[in-house]
Amino acid sequence: MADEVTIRTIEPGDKLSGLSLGLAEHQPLKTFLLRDAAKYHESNLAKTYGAFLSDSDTPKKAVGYVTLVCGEIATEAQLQAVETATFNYPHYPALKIARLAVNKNLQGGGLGRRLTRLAIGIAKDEICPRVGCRFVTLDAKKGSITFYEKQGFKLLDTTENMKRDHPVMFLDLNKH
Amino acid sequence: MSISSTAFGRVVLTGKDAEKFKSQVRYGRASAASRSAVTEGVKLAKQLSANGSVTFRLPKIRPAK
Repeated sequence: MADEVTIRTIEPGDKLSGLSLGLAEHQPLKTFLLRDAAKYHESNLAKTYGAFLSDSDTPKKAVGYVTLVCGEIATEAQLQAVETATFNYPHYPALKIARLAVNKNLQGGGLGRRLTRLAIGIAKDEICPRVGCRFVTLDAKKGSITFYEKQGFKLLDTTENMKRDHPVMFLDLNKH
Repeated sequence: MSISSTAFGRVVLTGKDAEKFKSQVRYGRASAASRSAVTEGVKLAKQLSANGSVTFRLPKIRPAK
């Protein structure tokens, strides 16, 4: 027996409350979806893709989501030596996974993987062909680093980064 | 060296962190994991673009404790 899940952009009327994530440290993810996601979505500040059980009652109740924003990686070390084109700016365009959460009773079933890969796919298939976008980045919870590595992200391998509560991870779209 | 990054902000790298990033980009190669993620991600993005949504089946939902 399986549950049918649909991912789409959030819409007015969606039920964005009731997400159960299991850990107190995840409360900001629940609060964001409830209070800010729709406003940010409508204002083009951040776009949120919600996951909804297909057979749930109307309004549809979110069981997971991913929120995406434009970002950049700013570094004083230019990458010119590794580029075929000279790029004289130490700012590299990126898509950032700002938020990602999955209801605790669906965790481990592949929903988080699909939400993450959808974000990568949007960057690669829709943004890259039209707008410069070199990386997908995120700030990972330490307990999620292995999960994101399985999705192809690299951990910035420095002591400073590993000391952070949310280490920076990235995926280089130009390698694909 | 320093790293600054917030959920809705840019990533700023300096010093050794910037150099390490440069090195990882320079010498990094696509992994099996990243190839798989990009391939499936592009399929999902195309479905979303074509249909306005992506639908799939997951293992049966477990009762929340």
